[in-house]
Amino acid sequence: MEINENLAIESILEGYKKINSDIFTLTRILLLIFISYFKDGLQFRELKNALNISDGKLISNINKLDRMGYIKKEKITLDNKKLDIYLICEKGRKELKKIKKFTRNINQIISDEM
Amino acid sequence: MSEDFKKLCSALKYWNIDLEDPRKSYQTRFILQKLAYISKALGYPLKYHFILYIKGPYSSSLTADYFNYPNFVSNQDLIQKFTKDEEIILKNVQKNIFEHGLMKEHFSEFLETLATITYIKKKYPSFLDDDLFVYTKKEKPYLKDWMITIGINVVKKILFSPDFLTEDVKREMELWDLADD
Repeated sequence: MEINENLAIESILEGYKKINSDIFTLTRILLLIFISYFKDGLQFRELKNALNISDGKLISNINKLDRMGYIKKEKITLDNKKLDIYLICEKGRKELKKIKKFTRNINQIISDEM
Repeated sequence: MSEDFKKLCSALKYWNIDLEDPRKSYQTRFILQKLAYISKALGYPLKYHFILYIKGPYSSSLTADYFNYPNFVSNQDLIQKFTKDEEIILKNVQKNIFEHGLMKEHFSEFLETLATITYIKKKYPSFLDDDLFVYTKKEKPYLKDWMITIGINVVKKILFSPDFLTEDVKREMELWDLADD
């Protein structure tokens, strides 16, 4: 057990250097998780409703993720209406994997009794 | 490929729906999700699990199927025999959804509305029209009010089972039919 905890702490100390700290805001993490889960692509209005944030805040976070190469925008037509959808990119998927590993290590050393 | 996906694609063929490649068309993916959910809710034998939140009704296993087997969506050689019950369900969808006037210009939005209301009605069977309206609006605030109102009526129609038509209900309906405007 002690060895496992040692390894987990070591992994956290090493892991955090590999993670892009710009991604670590609640909105950006949520955006990345949802856009990754819904492989079909998510519409702006779906994201806005899910996160319950202003258009401005949403668009600035989306643009940031787009500039980092984690998500991409695609123009689509639905019932003759032009809409934007957002899709995950390979770089975003890789970053999410790093975050998942990082949080798994935290989970290993922080017990539920704390 | 899952049996579910074969079943769904067979239904598309039955309805005579021509869809583009799901890898390239968001609209195809959107329509597949909504039609699969509505059909399942009516009793068509699909095992896909659906969630309501954010994009729902939405099934990630269905997404995997159409990305992995996109050619099946437009496979004209697909031969599937339907049971009597399945055919009743497919006809119900054909008559009450595909032949509805809103399908011409509001195809996707209409299907999204119907699928969402059906999901809510299935989850909360005791909900009345007002509850359905409020809950649908909360989940999908961007759906138009008139679309939700029409959607509620269509959902009531498609979910209506002949078993509900008791002698009492029949008598009451006849009285309403006889009533003057």
